[in-house]
Amino acid sequence: MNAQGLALRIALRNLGVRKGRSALMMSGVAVGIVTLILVTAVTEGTRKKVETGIQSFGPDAVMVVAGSPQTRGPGDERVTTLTAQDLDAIRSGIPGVRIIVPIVARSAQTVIAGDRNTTTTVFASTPEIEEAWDQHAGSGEFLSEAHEASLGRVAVLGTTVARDLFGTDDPIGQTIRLGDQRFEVIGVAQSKGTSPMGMDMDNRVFVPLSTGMRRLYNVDCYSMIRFRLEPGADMQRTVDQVTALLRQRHSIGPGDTDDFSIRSAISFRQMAAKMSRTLTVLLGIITLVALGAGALVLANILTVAVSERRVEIGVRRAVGATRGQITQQFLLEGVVVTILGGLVGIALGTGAVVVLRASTELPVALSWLPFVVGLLVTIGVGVVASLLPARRAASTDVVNALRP
Amino acid sequence: MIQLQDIKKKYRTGPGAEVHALRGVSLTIEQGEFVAIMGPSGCGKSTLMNILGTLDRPDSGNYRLHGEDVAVLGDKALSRLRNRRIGFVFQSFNLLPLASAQENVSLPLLYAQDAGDVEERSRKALELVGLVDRANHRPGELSGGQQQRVAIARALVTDPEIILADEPTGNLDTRASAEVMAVLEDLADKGKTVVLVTHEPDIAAYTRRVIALRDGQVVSDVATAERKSARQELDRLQKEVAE
Repeated sequence: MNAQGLALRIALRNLGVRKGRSALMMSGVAVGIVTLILVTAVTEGTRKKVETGIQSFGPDAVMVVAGSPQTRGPGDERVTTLTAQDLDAIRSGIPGVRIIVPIVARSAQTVIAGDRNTTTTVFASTPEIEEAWDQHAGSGEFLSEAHEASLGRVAVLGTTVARDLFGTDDPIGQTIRLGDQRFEVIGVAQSKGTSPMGMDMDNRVFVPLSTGMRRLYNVDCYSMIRFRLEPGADMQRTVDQVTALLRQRHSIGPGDTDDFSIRSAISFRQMAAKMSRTLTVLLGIITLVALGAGALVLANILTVAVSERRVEIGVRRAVGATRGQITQQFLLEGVVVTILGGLVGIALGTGAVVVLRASTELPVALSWLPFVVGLLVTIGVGVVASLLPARRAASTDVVNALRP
Repeated sequence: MIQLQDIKKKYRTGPGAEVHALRGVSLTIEQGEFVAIMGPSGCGKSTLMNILGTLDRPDSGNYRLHGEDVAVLGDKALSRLRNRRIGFVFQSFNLLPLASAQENVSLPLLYAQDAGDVEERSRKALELVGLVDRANHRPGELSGGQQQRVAIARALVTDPEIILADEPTGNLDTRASAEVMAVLEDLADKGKTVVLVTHEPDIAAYTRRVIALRDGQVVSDVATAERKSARQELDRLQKEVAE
């Protein structure tokens, strides 16, 4: 048993006696910590989701997509300016390009097998897409040069399409119909999960590029060009170079909008930061306001408590407490109250994160960070809010306080 | 052991209005004395008590405790001095309502440099005032006399040489007053210096020396004329109740 120990015990009894006031003292801090935890959970969740997406997209991959930067999904079908000549120019003009493939893609395509059908995105590309996109066959085989040369009517299904059309049956060797053409299923692609944009990357059907361009869609432009970088190549510089090259090739004047967009790990991270920024700013403001209000309420109530406990302060001074020890005592009490409030906030905030994660699509992640930050912030708020009341307590006029 | 030399103190009570609480008090109190400071209200006796207890500083004059000039001591040294050498007893007890009797008694030990076994020492102090069986009671569960005895135990727990009691019986009835005075009497008999402030001649009669103040000055300082024993008075009162 020491001085601060007994002080603490009595302080806790004080809190217990004045439950309403104690709850008020804790609530501001608790609300602040709840929002603080939500901010960090959302930020951390978004970051994790994007990083996972970047891994499946390919951290060293760059995708040039036809259509303005507002275009989503696999390119704007009305834009016909992304061509084989562009691809050659990138391959020969940009250093560090390792492997480059053209893709013709069409979304919202109906694919039919027997009496079942589903809606999917068709990707027509060369066999190198296997390496350019880590798009390996999980079973069966992938597209080959022979298929490409012969405009082969063969298809590799993403796992979602395979399940939708064939259930648990083996799709390999079966026939599917795309438009008015029949295709033989030669393989099922390995699952790739969700893209950084939130798309199901397994809801795809791959066909040879020549087949797609001539048999299916009759086009001579690409939807996308995808390439990977040599190890050590600078992603941002490459993106800048490709942008400059294509703007020049497509005769886009200064100030005019690009007719293509470039997606890469960099752009995904920028997008994610933009998406979570609004929410972070909003919750951040709430956090600051709540913690500020909490600190003010706390400081006020502690000041009232100090004047109510003048006699106690006088007695402690009379029996040998120094001013410093009185300051310490009230600082400690303030910090204890805020820590209790902070713990309530951490419990509620963690509960909110768990509920959000279970019941919504919001990217929230639990990590140790909010607990540490929350606790540190709590202690900081406690010290700041208690400092003035504690010093006021220390400067209590002992003679007056002890006067009956 | 206590030497006051021409102590003066005035208070500002408003703009331009000053009260001269002490107008040059000189006195000496030796170890083991049992002294009452008497006088009407406003005579400066509480101010004198606060200065003796180092809770207040005089405007001028010299206060030596054990030969040491108190005026030069800072907050830390004064706090330590109060902790080790002086025990306070107040009119309104001033116990912490949320702390048990024993916790209240142990309070000074919590600020002591070498507190030793806090539980043991606070229990012994309660024993001295005969309240060891009330150790876990809160002040609200004790009578006025018992609360004041807990307060005396708190004053005793660091084993100080001096007990300063400001109207210790002011809130107590005759019986409880005799109880409290009997405890203070015992302490004086054991060699403690006990100084108490009172305006009741009946209470002053238990002491051995009475210093009378009026308008901030000592007007008389004499040995108690008809000294009574608080212990005997308490026994008498207890017999009365028994009969």
